[in-house]
Amino acid sequence: MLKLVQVEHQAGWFGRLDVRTKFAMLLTVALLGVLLDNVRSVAALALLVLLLLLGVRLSGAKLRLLAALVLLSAWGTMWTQAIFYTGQPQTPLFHLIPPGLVNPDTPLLGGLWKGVTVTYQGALHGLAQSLRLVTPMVLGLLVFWTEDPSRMLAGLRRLRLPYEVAFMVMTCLRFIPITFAEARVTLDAQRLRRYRPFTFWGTLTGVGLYRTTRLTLVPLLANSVRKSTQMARSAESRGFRAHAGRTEAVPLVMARSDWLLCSFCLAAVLLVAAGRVLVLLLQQGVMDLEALAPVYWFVRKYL
Amino acid sequence: MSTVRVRDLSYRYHAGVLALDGIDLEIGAGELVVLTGPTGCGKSTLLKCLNGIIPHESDGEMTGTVTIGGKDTRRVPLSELARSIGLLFQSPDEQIFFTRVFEEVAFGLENRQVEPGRIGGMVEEALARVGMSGHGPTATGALSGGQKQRVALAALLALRPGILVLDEPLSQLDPGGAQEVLAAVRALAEEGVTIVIVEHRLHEVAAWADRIVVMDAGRIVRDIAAADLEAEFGTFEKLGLRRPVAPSLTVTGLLRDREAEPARSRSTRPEAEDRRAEEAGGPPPITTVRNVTFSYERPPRFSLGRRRPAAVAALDDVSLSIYPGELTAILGHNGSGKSTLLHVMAGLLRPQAGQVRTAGYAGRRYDAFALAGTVGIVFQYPALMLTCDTVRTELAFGPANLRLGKAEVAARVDGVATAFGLEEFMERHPQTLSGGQRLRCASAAVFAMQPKLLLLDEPTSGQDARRLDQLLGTCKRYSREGNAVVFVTHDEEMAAKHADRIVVMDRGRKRVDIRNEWTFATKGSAHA
Repeated sequence: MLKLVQVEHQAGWFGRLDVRTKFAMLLTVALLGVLLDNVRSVAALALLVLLLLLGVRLSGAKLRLLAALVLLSAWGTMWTQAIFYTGQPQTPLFHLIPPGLVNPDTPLLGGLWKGVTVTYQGALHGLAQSLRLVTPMVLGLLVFWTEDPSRMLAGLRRLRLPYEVAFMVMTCLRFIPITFAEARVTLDAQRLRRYRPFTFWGTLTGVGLYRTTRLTLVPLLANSVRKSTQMARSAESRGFRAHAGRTEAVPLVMARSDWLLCSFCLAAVLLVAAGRVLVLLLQQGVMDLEALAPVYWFVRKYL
Repeated sequence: MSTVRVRDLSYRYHAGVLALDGIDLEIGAGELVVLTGPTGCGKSTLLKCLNGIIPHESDGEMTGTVTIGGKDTRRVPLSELARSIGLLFQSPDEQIFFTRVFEEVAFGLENRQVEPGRIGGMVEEALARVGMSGHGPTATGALSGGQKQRVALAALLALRPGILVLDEPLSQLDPGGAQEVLAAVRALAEEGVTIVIVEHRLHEVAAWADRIVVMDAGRIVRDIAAADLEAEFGTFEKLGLRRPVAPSLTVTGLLRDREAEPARSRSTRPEAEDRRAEEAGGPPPITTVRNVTFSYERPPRFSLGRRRPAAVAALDDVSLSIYPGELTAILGHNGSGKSTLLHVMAGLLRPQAGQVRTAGYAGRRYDAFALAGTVGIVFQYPALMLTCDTVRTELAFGPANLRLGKAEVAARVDGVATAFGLEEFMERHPQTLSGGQRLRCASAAVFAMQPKLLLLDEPTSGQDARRLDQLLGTCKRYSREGNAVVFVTHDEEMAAKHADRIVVMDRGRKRVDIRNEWTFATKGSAHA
């Protein structure tokens, strides 16, 4: 479990990028996820992010976790979104509950007389939604797995995040593996006292989940409070907050490739946003320029 | 001239408890002073006064004066005091923030706005002073406990404090790691840094100290020069402290003896050992560990291209039988496989080869959940085991899960509460207890399940001798009732004093397995 949260220090060309470039890429992917409407373009963005994996030498365990997260999140979100899709047209793919199976007069369930149908358009809509969720998640994990907390601290500070907040973020990341190990101890201690968290009824009613969460969180939180007191004293004794600013032993340096990537990210977001705004203005009847016809066509067809 | 001067210092917590009562203490530049005393004697409160947490961040009542380098701690802000005093804590993991040694040591310098060009040199100098020169690029996670503690020390030294205060810095280190840290600290004292160490493991630290200050009930009861220690052994015994004498039993010594033994006289295979015990009319073992191999890194099922290096075995072909009536201590350096062996016996880790059998459980059935009530374990950090709202429900949690009757559960709860002196805390939240009380509560909760095999992982960390004697005495009595108790420890002195049998692990292998009487018959007693 610990290996899943440890930093890969030999993380290929992606690992060598400046932390600010990675943050910029993450922000770009998140914004494009919101701006893009076409399922093909969202899928292309997801594919691009997945291609980044080729530039990161991740361990097998991390790749397996990533694959599981991507498939479960994408699959689950896709079908739940597909079920509740209300747009038109609707081409049925299959019925979960066939139309007419439930009598409209049946108490409570009568509303299901039309059946529950998964449609082609709903599935596409679900796919787009799931990729919007999964793509930044994958890139976020890549950043987390390839960056030392200290570089994140420096990067966050350069992005004008207050030092105290940036330090807390960095410390949280640093202590995630330790918290995982502690949770394991607590769960092991419960097993050795024959505590069965997920009995049939416990799972069905949710009581098991609630009880296990409470029994696990109490010692973890208490220990975290004790530890953070110690950590705060340790940090204070080493001049934390002693001055308004601080120096950096190894200053962050943006290479040419970093500037290129950041420029590309900025250009991508600006172009997509501009295209979307132009189409919006057209739809609202505010502005319709013939010279922009190819732009309208491109945005509608591909974005 | 005194670097630290404490005059008629008293401190009362806001709850009314008098923690310090008229303390007078002077410590000169370059002195290494050990502060010791039973749990609750006021050592930690005195440390807080030295580093200014009291009075600046405390709402109790302080009288008297504390001056550090001529400055009254009342009149100097905490941030300024922090410039002259470095604090080192028990757990290195709770004071290392970064993933690389260089960044860790540079952290304080960056905070103090040292010019970037000078930081590299200062970091390397600090690392050299603790004997870790060239370790800058090393990942902090890859260091041993002793190395981590030395990195934490280097991080303080880089700031060039005049005084270093170390709060139980050895409690999580094996004797080898402890000696590494103490040697580095002694060298600093020689350079003129004033050192104050609070420590229970007196036998390890005394040889490096100039003075030992003994506290009891908020007062300093003795201030002993290192040369006069022997004459004061009575004081240590009276206060339930350890005698500051190196134990005759050491892991290094046992391993050295083992290497010197002729191969012919080494212990026979464990099967023969069991048969011998049964033939002699003794009871069969409660637990047998047979040729167990375990690695945290699973070998790949298939691999493409370059072959990966073989995984390092945490346990390598280990065999061991645990008999009823035995209190067994497992010793060994950090990373020798002691805790892994305990976790395998508890059914928390499944060995990749070999077998563990306890009371009829073996193979796929050897699982922690199935073993509950037969095998119990007290982990190194007992606070993580305390999950319930009151001590009473905590003690009843295990027996109730075993589906015992209410009367039986109540009887067991009362029994262990009395045995561990927890009666007055029964309605308190377990997480609000002190460190020693939490260990007692977690131990009692496991004892309440009456396991045939009881395992304790480092129960000696940070505990004073009196409490350890109580805990291990209870374990011994429990083993005499037909059960077996196994504890893992770095504390050679406690192992020598209490264990019936001593097993030494080294790099995943069982190297030594002897009756404790044998040790003392050949080496002389270390018993106080």
